[in-house]
Amino acid sequence: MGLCAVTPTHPSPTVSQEDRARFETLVHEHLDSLYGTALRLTRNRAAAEDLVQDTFLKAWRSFHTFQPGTNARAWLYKILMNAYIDSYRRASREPELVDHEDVGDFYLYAKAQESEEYRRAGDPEEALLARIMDADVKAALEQVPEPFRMAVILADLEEFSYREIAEILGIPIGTVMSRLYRGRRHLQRLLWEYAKRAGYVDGERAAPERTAPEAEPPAPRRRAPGDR
Amino acid sequence: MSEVDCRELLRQLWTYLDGEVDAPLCEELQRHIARCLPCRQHAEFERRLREIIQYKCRGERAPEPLRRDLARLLGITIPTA
Repeated sequence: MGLCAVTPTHPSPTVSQEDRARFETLVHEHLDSLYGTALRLTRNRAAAEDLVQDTFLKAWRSFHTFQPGTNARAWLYKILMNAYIDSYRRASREPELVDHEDVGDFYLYAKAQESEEYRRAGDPEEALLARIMDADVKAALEQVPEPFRMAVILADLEEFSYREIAEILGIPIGTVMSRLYRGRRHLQRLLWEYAKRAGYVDGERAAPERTAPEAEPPAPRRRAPGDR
Repeated sequence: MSEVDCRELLRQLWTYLDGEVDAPLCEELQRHIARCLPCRQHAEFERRLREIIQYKCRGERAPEPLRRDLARLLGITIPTA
């Protein structure tokens, strides 16, 4: 008696092939979208590569704490955002956060309707959307100041729910909403400027710029309104 | 049942398009959009604007050096882009 044989109930510290295979699948599934987010955040290819590498190394080190079946994408994004906040953002020189005067939520729609030029086009909303299609939308997004840009990227590009974004950024849902809406107002204002620039080169209507990724045309999956 | 007016619809439009309003309000907003042409056009504009932003800003591919470094550091294989 006395001696109690302790059977290991935790996985041994050495990594199982199964863990590595599961992690490999995660990398395959999320590498490109994490890189895209890192690029929109850091605005710099080298920094984005470093950030993604850092993210996956951190994720691998804490992979034993990850619960299979839970939201792997949100888990990885949380690690990415924390890594970004911890190092890259501190190192980079963000422009001083100057919020524009409140422009209202629907700046572009209002501009389309009040602009003489777009009204002459017959269908002002269509004409403006076509112009935005030709504009450098990435550059406009990258001009949206932190921390609003983070919220816009997570909601509008990555389609995380408010609750997921709250968890990823470690902030209340109300803060998610206010950052997201302010970010969208900034973005709409910037898109108006970029759309104007896209429209004219030397006073001529520019040929449509086709630098968009060879992805599917804009008919992406949408969350059904009211769907949680 | 209370009727949603245009002002209320605009107040909720982003939350609605984000799929974040609860089911009863969602139904009311949908009913309003179905019968109000200006609000329908506006909602459609915001929805398409978001699709364009996604189309223009997504679709990055992680570059080869990053794939190679990650594969080496993690001891896994990563297909080329």
